[in-house]
Amino acid sequence: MTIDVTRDAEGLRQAVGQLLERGFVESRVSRSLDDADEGSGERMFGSLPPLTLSPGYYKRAEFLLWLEEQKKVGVATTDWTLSEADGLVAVAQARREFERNHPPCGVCGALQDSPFAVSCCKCGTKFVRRGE
Amino acid sequence: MSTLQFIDLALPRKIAIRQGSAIVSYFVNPIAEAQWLKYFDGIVSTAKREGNKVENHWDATAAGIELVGESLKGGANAGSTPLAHQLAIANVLTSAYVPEAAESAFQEPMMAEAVRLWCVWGAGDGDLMRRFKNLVHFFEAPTAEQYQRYRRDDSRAQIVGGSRKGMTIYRGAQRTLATLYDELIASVAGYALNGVALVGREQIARHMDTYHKVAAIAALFSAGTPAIEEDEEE
Repeated sequence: MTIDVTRDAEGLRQAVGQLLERGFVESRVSRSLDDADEGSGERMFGSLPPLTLSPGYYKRAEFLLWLEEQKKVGVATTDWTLSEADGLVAVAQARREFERNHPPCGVCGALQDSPFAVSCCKCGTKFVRRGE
Repeated sequence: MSTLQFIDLALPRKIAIRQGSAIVSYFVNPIAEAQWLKYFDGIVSTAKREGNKVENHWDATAAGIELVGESLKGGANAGSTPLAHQLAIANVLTSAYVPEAAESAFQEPMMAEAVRLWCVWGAGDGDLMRRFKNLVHFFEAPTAEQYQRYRRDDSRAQIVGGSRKGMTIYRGAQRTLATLYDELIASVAGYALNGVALVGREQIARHMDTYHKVAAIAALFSAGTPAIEEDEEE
């Protein structure tokens, strides 16, 4: 069976989600690298979340993320193809999922490693859960 | 000024191939855009994930042989060209590339929308193939809409064999790039038509070799290479 990447919204949602997750971990690793020796640096990069789909999904996902950025700042043309419009919906879904998994700190805005974090990974603010 | 300092797009290309101590020459007529687009459609560009690595594969051999066969039709050597010569001719026809900054003698600051190409075009009277290093394409700045068209088509792909373990087959954006070239080209240097320098968008769009069009404008849309200084090994 042949899959047309541009029309596989579910595959694109997964690809965008994996790229966002990887970008998040990469930014963490980069910050830690200054203090790391060569061996631990390699281990850190080796622990990046895997990309599990066929490579074509990520190229399209990168294009859609670029399109989303253009749209956000208002410079993109609105002349989208149907597959681009569907792709942007997939990006929005993936981003919502990513934001649920990495909620920002209410004080400093830093994205957290998990929605169950008890304190901010950057500023140390204690999070108060509902009902506590 | 020697005529060899220009590529004359109206003349047949003389391609000289060394065979032992002899040199065999072939004459290739200017290749029409439709022939080039057929060649680009024939390129097989795939990628497959193997564990954590991606294996990319690119093959234009069959497309190149077909292009050469059509280009030599009606010529003196048509039908009797050895495969090795067909491959050599295909290599020459597709030899245009953007030199690394270090290779290029382009010392003056480049305009942002200028692309320099090097290529082996044809042989002169001495039967020696010459590399042209003075080919420059000057473009107008692309719009966001044009860049979107390029990326839209460059990111088209089909997957065969399942979304995870399957092979990606890229469809390529060369057709779009050729169209965008015609929209964006402002002027060129190093090209002529019947001995007169090629000028004006319409003339350039009509006569420029499509492989050169695609090679030049692909560089315009590619990310630049940052100048990086490596740490010295301890």
